[in-house]
This record gives sequence, C-alpha cells and structure tokens, in this order.
Amino acid sequence: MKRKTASRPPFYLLTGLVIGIIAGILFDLIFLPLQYVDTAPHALRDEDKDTFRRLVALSYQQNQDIGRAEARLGLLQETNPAATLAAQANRMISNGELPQEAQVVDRLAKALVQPRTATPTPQNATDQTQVNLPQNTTLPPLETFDPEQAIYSPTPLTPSPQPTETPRATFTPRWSTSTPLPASGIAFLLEKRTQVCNSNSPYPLLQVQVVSRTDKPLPGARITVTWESGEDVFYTGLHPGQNEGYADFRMQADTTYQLRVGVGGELVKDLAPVQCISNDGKAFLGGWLLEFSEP
Amino acid sequence: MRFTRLFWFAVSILIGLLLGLYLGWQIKPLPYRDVTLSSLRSDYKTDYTLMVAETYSHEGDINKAAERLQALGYETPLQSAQHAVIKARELGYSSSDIALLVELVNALQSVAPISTPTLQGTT
Repeated sequence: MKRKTASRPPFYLLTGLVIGIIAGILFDLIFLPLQYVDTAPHALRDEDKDTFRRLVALSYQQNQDIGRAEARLGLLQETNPAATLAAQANRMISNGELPQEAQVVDRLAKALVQPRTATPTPQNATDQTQVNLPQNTTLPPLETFDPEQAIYSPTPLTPSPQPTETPRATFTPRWSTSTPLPASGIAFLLEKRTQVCNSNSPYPLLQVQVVSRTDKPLPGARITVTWESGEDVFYTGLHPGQNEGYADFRMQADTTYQLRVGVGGELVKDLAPVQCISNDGKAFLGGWLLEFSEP
Repeated sequence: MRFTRLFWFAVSILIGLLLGLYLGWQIKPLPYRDVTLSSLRSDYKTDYTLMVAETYSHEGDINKAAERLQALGYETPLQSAQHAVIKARELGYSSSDIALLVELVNALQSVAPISTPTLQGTT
C-alpha cells in the first residue's frame, strides 16, 4: 500500500512559522530591544529611585525648601514618602554607604512628618533675590504632562535634547510662591464627597473646600493631585471670587485622580469626571466637591 | 514539487519572523517601569540636574556632581548640564535656579574645558 502524500498536513509550514516567530522574538530582544523614552520618575527602577530620593534630600539640605522637596518626592508617586526615605536611610547605613548622606536622607524623612508653620517673610529682606528659595515653593516649571507620554522605540536611543511633547492643559497656578501659606503643613481629613453636575461649567472640576476646626474657610492649605503619569500642587485661598478655603482643579475626561490636602492628609482616590445629564437632556461631564476639615 | 515546498517553507519562516517582531514590539514585553534615569523626559532631567547643581553648590565636589550627571545618559556630564540650562530657560526657571545650573556648567567646563563644544544658548 502506498500512502497518499497529498493527504499529509503541511507540517513544514508550521515548522517554518515557529522558526520565524522564535527568530523574530530573538531579533527583537538582541538587536532591537524596546526602550522607553520621555518617562516620568515614578517609572524608574528601584536603584534609580534611591538615587533620585538621595538627590532630593541633598538638595533639600542646601535650599531647606520642604515644599520643593515634597513636590519632587511626589513625582515618585509613593504612598508614604517619609517612610520610604527612612527605610532608604537605614538601607544606606546597612550597605556601608556614607553615613552623612544617610543622615541627610533621614533628616528629610523627619522634616516631612513634622508639622510645619508659616515662615514669616524676612523683615530686612530688601532685595528679594537674596532670599534663596521661598518656603512652600513647588517644583521648577515642568512641561504639561501627557499621560500617554511613554514612547516605545525599537532602536537603541541617543537621547534627544528637544523631544516633541504633546501639550496638555492642566491647572494654572494662581498664587505667588514667595508668600508663606499658613495651612500648608496640616494633615486634613475628608468630611464630605459630593458629585457636582454643573452644566454651566465648561469642564469638570475637582473643587476643594477646606475649613478649620471652627468651620472657618482656611487659606493656604496645600492640595496635591496625582494621576497616572503626573502631579500638580496648588493651594486654597487664591481663587478670585471664592472664599478663602476654596480651590479647584480642572479634570481631564479620561483620567482618574487622587487628591490629598495637607501633608500626610487623607488620600481621596478614584476621582474621575462623572456623567451628568442637563435639564435639556444633554450629557456632560461633572466633577466633585470635596470638603476637608482640620483634624 | 521540492522547489514549491522550499518556497512555501521560506514564506512561512518570513511570516513567522514578522509575527515574532510584532509580538516583541507591540505586546510590550517590558512593563512601563524599571526604566533608567537616562530615559526621563527632558524637563525631569533638567530638574534632576538642578538637584545636582544645588547639591554641588553645597558640597563643592565636582567629581561627584559629574558622576551623578553621568546617569542621565548624555555623552558627557558637561553636555547634560548645558542641556539643562537651555531647557531651564525655555521652561522659565527662576533666575536663582538658572544661576545654580550655570555655576555647575562653569565648574564642569573648568574640569574638562575641551571635552565638548559649547552648545548655543548656554552662555
């Protein structure tokens, strides 16, 4: 009996396909590995995050600007930066690194958890440029952030000095960083969270109302908003036409935010624009009103 | 017949190769984490360089500053600092911050005066 060759499945095609797939993946891995460019600090590997934190601490030692240090640490999007810093300091000592640098890191960890009061403007400072860096400053300006900023490149990269970036409209600071703010160092607690459907607002807002123990609107409360690939910091009491405890932030339609008021205050999660229906039946995006109080 | 089989075998390898390349690039084998400092966006690199400059102004150790800048992936630490000055001006950094960066550039230039050509806009 002779077998009919025509009835045999074409295994050689399958073999060729498998060989090709394996070769393609190996080619990717060896010659064209994926590399991320234009990333944010929170995506750094642990080793580089340590380097980043250490530099934040060292520069804090120089400028004593806790606001700036906090904002920089915020870029790492860690839930408890002070604890992370303290752990790093311990790790540095156990690894036999310079004890001075470990102390600097530890000092910043302690500074972050200490309650802060307003620093008065120097009485005799006639020349503003002599004041090195004002308290409660935030980071130097960063470009507006596109959450989809991670770009994949199949080729080994030479860093470009001027990458193209997608502008993204976010909060516009309305405050002067040279003025000390009275309530920036307090940890506030969320009292109420309410959806706001205001068809007159052209975009969804995260509205924040902060009051003191005596229910008085509190200016200067530091508000940190973070989202998947960015962060913004702003303060209450600087919104024209509103009470001193009010601040707001413009949300993007496709983004979920987290918000914290004060240093170490309660973290409010899952803040995304909500679907609303206007009186005439049109759908629009609404926001949130978050009411915080001093503990 | 044999030639036909060889032909289709080669075609299947080619298709497999393309599929393998696609899998490697598009299925994202690397998660968006564990990236290095050299992959940071330029404005973050600028702020990183500012931290190095602030630390340098306190420590005065240019070798350590150069070592820290090396991580940003530019050819030389000087180039890294020069890019930071340009970017800082673009982004509207305060004059005191820019002064710190310029101080760092000057210090790096004095250590390695002919290592790289000066970029436009840094002076």
